[in-house]
Amino acid sequence: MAGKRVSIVLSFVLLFIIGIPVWWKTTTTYRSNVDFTSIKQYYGLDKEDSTSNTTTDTNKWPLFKPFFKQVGSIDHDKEVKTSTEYCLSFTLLNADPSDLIPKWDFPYLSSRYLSPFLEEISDIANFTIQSKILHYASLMKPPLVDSKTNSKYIPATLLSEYINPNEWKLDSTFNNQPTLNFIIYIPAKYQTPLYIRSEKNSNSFLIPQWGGIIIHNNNDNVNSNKDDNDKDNSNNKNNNEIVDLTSDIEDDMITFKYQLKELLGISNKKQQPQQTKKQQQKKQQQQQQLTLSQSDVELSKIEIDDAIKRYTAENLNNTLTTLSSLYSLIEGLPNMLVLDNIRDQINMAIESLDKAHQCLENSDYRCALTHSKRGLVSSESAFFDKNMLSQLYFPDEHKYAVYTPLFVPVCFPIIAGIIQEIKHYKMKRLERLQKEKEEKERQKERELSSSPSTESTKDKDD
Amino acid sequence: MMITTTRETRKGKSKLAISIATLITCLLLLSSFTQTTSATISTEDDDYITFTETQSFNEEMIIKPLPKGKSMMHFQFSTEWNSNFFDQSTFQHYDLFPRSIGDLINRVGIEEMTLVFTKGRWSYSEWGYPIRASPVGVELTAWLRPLEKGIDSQWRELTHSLSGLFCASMQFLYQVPHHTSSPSRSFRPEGTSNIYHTMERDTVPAIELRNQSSVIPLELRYGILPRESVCTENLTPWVKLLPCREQSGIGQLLNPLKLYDVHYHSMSITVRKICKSSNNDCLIPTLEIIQSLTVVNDVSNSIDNIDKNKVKVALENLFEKSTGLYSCPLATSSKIYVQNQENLNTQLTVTPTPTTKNTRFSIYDLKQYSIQNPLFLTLSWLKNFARSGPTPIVAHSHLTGYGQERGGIATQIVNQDQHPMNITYYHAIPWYLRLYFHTLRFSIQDKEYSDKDFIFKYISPAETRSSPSTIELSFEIPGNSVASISIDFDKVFLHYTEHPPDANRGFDLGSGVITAYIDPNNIVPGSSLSQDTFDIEWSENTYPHQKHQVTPVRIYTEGLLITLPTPDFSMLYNVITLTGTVFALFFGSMINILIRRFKNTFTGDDFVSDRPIAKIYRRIMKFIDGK
Repeated sequence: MAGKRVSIVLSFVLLFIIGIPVWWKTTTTYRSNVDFTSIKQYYGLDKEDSTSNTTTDTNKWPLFKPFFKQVGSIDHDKEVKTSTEYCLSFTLLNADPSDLIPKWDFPYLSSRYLSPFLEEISDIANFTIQSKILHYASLMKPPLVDSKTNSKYIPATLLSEYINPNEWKLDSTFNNQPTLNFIIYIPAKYQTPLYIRSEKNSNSFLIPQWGGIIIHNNNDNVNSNKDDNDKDNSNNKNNNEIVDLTSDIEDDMITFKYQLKELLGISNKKQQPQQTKKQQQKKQQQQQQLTLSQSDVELSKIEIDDAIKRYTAENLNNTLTTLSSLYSLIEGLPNMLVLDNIRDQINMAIESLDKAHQCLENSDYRCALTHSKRGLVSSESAFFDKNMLSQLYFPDEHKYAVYTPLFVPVCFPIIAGIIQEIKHYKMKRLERLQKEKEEKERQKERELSSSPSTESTKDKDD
Repeated sequence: MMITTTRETRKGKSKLAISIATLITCLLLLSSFTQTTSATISTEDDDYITFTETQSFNEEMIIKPLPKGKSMMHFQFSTEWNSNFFDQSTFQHYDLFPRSIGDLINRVGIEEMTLVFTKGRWSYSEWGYPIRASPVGVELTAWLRPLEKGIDSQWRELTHSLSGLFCASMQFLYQVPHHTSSPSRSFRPEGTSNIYHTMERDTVPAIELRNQSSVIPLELRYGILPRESVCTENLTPWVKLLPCREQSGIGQLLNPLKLYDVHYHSMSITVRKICKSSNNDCLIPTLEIIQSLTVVNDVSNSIDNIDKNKVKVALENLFEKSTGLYSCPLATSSKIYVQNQENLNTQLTVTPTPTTKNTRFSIYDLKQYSIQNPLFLTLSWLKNFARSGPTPIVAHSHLTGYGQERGGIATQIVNQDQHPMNITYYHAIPWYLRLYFHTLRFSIQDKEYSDKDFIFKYISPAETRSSPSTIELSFEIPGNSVASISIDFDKVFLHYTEHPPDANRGFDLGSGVITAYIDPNNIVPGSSLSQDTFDIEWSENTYPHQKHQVTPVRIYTEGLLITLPTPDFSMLYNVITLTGTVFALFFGSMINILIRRFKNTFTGDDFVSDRPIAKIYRRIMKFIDGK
């Protein structure tokens, strides 16, 4: 009977021992194995001591750090974050259509001025162009009046108080590409001509990381404003003139090209005047209307090469940063889902980093650019995958709340049974030892005397 | 006046001679274009196509007095765009046409689409027919041209994009398709650029690809969200699509606070393709967006001071717009129509004098007014006037039965006119009501119909947890009679997670659609079908149709609310603890019996247990007694 009890208790214990690992395995989130060793080596994260940050013996990509240093720092206050695709959105904003209804032939303008430029930098990124004409866009505050020249102006330091592009309700696009907005703003007739004043009058400005705005003072509006001061409200009807502004805007397209170069960071670094880094500082283009011509914005070979190097460096840096953030995220949240496609994307990103490194060894920058773009796309799609953002759907507290009422009351008898069995076993062992001792004593007595031995006590219990 | 710009699309490298030659041909072709606005293809060079691009915007408003001190106002904004739609780059440059819609048309392959947001119920028997009928909630009808990604993926992209664009939850039409279906006969494209293609069972609309000379049938997807509530968040992006928005023109009256405080509010956007040329053969149809908004106001409180029986309505007070109305500069035409209803005794007076006046309407041309001289429109009419006769076709539906197990749906379609009419009835009932199709009863004036009496009958059962069951019947209803349709169902006990929030409110069933084809020959002035009930073609710009063509009138039945058996949502925790308790007690007893050791404690004295609990108990008792 003792053997049966022990086997019953042991069977329950065995059940628990087998059951708990099975339950644990079936309730873990799916995490596929991702090999982060090269990222760890690059950042030195697999070493326990953080003082050794310059060791290159185990670093797989020794050329990256010197390359980044060579390219130099990137002015992120002005230039937009690198991407493999950009959407260039050109808008013709009209303040008041009752004065003037502007039209433009934008496909002609873009094919004449923009397409050759974009062809040359097509290695860097894909550009999509779109255009729109919007009406009823107004300034936030009326501009200041300069009575001498009968014109209106906005002081350059207070530009953000007068113009807020978020208020202009520009259309949003359906894709995730970073968008650069270029706006030609036609002020209302009573606000024409409108300038931005710092030392001289100028017409255009750049908004960092967003785009550029050119104020186009339509000549008809200017002329009619001068004449109309005497005869006000003489005609009842609105004069809805439809004006084709294509030829007037051709000069503005050159300005847009210059602004685009600035935003993409392609312009020659030696010509850059030093800019103070203030948030949202609007930089004026002093030489816009007067001296900028087609030749000023032609791309030289040096500029293109610099741009390729800069984009490669930035893409590689972003890929590495994204992958290391991904690593710390996956390590830090043990309950997060990591699917197979994420692992494939990460492997692809690491592979393209390898290939880019090989190209750098051969000093083939265009090849490095191609691979850096691929790496950027893979790492970003792995990082922003929608499954990565899934919440912890099986938190530990829920597990405890569901299983505790069932298993804890069940455990008590089993533990009590185990304790009983152990106590009983010990007691029995003690008794057995005592019995043996008595046996020995009796034997000794028997040997001393030849009298028959008394009967031994029997166990009462079995 | 039309707004024209010329575009030339050129492929390949251009050499000087070719450029001059093509310039000359271009000029020759252009000279022939000043008469017509359709596009032609030059046969000299395969890559050379010339199109004239035209865009125009028209805004209209119609005001109609209704009996019992109510008024109907219907705003309609239509934007047209004709360009070279074969070229993909056309969909990157926009002027009056909104970019979000143009982008959507290009990506999803929409041939025609209608999206309607409705709040309130249109009373067909009191007010006649609306200009655009709609069920309560959100309704999306889309005719899709099959692309490579598949109709399913196109529908998914369409619903998700629209829900983002209009801040509504249309994505549920794809994710939870309880109300998404494809009726075969109740809907036809409104546009005129389609042909009809005969397939096995049915004639379906299709489009013809001229370069491949193949005919592609179009797919219809129809989905409704009866539970969706409509608010100003849906109005704001809708107004953003208009070229003048709410800054000038008739859009100035779109005051969100006043538009939602009404008896009936319906806001719709329709995208369709029409032919602008006089002959039916148009190579490239014009894309048109029609945005319309219908409100029914209760104006019985604003009594005329002079005559107590009349109501007086000033537009600027009704919509709280203190400056008057003037036209949008971008609009080609901007008009306000006030319906005279001369056969009824409404005693309608309008101030100021209208620009033109004919038998049906008093028309104000807003182009004559300007911001210095705006229009202040005031109307007054008799508060209680009688209509000339009942509305020809009305329909109602209700639920039958009681309890949480079973029930039924019954619909009555009443023809109050003396002429017989062709009626198509369509209803999509979600899967959680298990219909018994053998209980479908159809009778006209208590005379049962069998299958052979129907012109068309199509019933498809539901797919559990996805598509609804659909009933589509076509029949002819004789004059002055009632058609009754009824069917029984069992209610399904849903999963715990499938109940919506506030589950005890119930589930909304969608409305049934009744399409009636009214023969214009039957419209006799003075009869019940005359202009006070049937005013679909009030704007010649919008609905240029040939006369003597049968026009469909659509009627929607009420949205019904049904309660399904609701579980007790706290039972989840109760079940866990109860099961845990029962099992623990059972297990504890069993294991005690199995491994308990019995000790002989017969000592002649009282039994003294040496269990720890007993020891503690004895100690406590000693402590209490000892004191």
